[in-house]
Amino acid sequence: MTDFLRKIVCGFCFFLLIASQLLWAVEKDTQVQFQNAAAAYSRGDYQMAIQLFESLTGGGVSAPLYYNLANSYAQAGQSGRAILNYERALRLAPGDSDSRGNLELVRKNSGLFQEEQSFIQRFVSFIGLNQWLGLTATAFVLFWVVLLVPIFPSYKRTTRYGLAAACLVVIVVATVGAAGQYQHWQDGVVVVSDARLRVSPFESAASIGTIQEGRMVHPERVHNNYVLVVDEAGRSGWLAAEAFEFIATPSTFH
Amino acid sequence: MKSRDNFSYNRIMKVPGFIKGLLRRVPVHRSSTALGTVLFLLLTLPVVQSAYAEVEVTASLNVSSFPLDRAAALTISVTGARSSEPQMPEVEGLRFYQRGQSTQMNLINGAYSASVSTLFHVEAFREGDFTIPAIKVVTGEGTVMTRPITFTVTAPQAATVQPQTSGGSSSARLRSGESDKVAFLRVLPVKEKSYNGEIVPVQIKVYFRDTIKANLNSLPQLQGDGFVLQQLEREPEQTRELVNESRYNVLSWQSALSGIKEGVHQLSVDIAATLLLPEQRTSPFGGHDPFFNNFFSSYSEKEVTIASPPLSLTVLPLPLDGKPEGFSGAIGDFNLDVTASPLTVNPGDPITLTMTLSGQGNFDRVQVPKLATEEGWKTYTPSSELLKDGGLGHGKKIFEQALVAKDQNLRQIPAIRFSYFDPLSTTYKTLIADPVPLNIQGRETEEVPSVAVKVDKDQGKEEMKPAEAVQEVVPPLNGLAPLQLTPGELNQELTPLFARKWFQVLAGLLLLLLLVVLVLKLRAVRYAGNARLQREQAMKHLLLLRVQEIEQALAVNDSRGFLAACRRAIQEQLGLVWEMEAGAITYADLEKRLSTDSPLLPIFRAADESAYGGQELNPQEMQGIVSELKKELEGLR
Repeated sequence: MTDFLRKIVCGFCFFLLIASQLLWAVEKDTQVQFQNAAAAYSRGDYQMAIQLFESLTGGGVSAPLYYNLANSYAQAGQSGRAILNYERALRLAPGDSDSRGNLELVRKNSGLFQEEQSFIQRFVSFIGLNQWLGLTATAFVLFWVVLLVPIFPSYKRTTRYGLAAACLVVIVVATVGAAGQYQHWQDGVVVVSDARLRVSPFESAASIGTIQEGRMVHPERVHNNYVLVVDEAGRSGWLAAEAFEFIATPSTFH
Repeated sequence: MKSRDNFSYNRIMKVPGFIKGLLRRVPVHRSSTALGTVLFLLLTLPVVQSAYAEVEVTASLNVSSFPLDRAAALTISVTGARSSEPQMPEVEGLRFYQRGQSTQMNLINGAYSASVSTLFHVEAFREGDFTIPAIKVVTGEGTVMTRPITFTVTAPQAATVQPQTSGGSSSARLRSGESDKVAFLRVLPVKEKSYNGEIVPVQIKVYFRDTIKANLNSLPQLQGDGFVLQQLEREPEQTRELVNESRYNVLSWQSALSGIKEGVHQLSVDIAATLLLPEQRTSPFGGHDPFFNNFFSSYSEKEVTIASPPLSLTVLPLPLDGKPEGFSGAIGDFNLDVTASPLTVNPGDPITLTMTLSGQGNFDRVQVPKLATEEGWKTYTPSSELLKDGGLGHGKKIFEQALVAKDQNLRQIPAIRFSYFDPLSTTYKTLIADPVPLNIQGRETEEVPSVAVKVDKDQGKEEMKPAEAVQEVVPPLNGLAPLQLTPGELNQELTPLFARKWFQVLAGLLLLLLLVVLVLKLRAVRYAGNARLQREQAMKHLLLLRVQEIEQALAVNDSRGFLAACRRAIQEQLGLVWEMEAGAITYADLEKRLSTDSPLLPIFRAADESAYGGQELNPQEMQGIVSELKKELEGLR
């Protein structure tokens, strides 16, 4: 019996050792490829940098990876894809000042001027959707804990109700923030130059006008290879699906 | 004089369709209208709910073939539902424009039927055979599908004025000879000759005799080639006018015609309407009693297309002489105002040029004014905004264009030109805005375009590393923040938190926990406020303790201990029921308050005798007492 247990423990340790070695090898490989991409960028080979960074996204994504990819696209003159990847990086790390600064610079350089945000818009974009959702969930739990669980029995009833009311305010504010962020969660970015908006989703349809590379669009619905979009100026028209990319994975779309 | 009498215009009046359907059957005489309406509503409203039994949908095109320069009317009617939302399919070469929706409630042989009709205009972009596939219609009572519709689009026709009439045998066509008609239409352009593309303000007026009621089924439609009619306001002005000593209710639209083809064109405007004509009935008391007519007479519906008399308008070509370079087709009278900001910039900084064209004219053809020279400048696609101001064709168009100076020696933004045609003086005019002085600050040091890479300090590498020179098609972007040196955790997702499985599970668990805590809390609150429940709990608890004592005494054959425990059990249980101190309860109290045949009396007496007289019980007697005592004390609760 003792021998059997010893064998099991040994086998488990061996398995852990092999698994950790494999994981370490994969991580090391990722690190090496990331450094190679950064080196290609530093010597000005932006196409190679894009290729290497893009291949890394197949194994998982992160804010630094999107940020580096965006920098590579920006240096290669592909403003649409640069803006797309800065937006993705900001979805994962909303407070990253480098991403924000570079995004503004690329927009400015491409003549993509945006209207000044209102107070509400600035407030909503203060943190990301997931942070707002996390805040809502935390405040929700705290609200019920304060009301139901007698953690601080010595506290007066008014104090408990005051804390609960404060939690409720946080829930409302965070829900508004989350709703505001979610409105733009499924936006896309035009990634080709001279993309055309059409009156209907067919190649033969008349053109409403061109839409500049790097412009944000809000997709409404899909038909064949076209997506009905509304641009920042409120223009609505059908855009070829290959002319833009979603910032985040589309979930609810018809 | 403004008036709203006698019109039940579906889109304008915003009256719910079924109410209109009811009102439509009520006479208009003021004294009896209110009474009749109230009576009618009281009698009929209780059965309104039964109106939506079965949902049926039909889609019909008013023609099976129409020319490319015309549109067809597609009507989707849903019966048995109060709402209808057609999900129009995308068909190559076709475009659908929703033109309105009306709801009706009809009473036929005592049974109500509700119907919603949605009108679309179908416009084609090419000739050929088309099929509109089955249209999905979402109603309040479910989703239904129409049948596919096939039709043909033919070559454009020559300019003829043949307004379409809506189908049905009751359809009629009204023309000039206005004075003897119940309804007619007038088109009043401000002038009959205009230039190609020029805006000609026009007033469209539909007259209805004030004795009839009418529903409009469409907006006024232009029939004929060579002109386009601007989008009409959905809500016309309603007035009342006297024409040949007859009083008419008038709907007026202010719009504009714009010539698109040179030559003389015959035009007409028509509108589809349903007239509600009163039917005279003979009173049972003899003659035509007005009160009887007002209360019991019905209305017959008559669908008509009201067309204006033909109108001859001329589109003149723009003169070729003196046509300036860069003329975009703007016709009217304009002013140009130009501002630029900032005026002190560093090389490469963008400058926003704001060009405002104000005045009167065809702003849809006004294009962005041009720089006299673009040499040394990089220009970006401008944005434009049209602000309407005052009457038709009046307003201003604001263009914002980003400019970047490619040459830092530039000292001014070049002059800006805009050309238009003035139809009053019949000449071309060019507006020129003066050059704007500019201050481009020179660079302190000429930097070699380089890209910096931030190196992780922990690894002890260089802080900055100059980039090697490479051949590039696009000049590198200066000023970008450097790269990140570590990829970070590569397992993040670009999906919202609430769409992730783990978050959903966690939220579910939290809600479950919350539910459990809530139930426990409610139980505790219920217990705290219920004295009876508390007493029952205490009785149960004490009885459990005493029964244990009794069984222990029985197990060791301790008769005295057994009877003492029985006595305590009786005292405690009765103490809680009688709300007395348990120790103070005596045999006398039991005799007084319990029935004489209560089994508790002999047990309590035996316990008293054992305590004070030393009487003992054998095991069989004790066994018999245990079950009887338990049963009796449990019964007290």
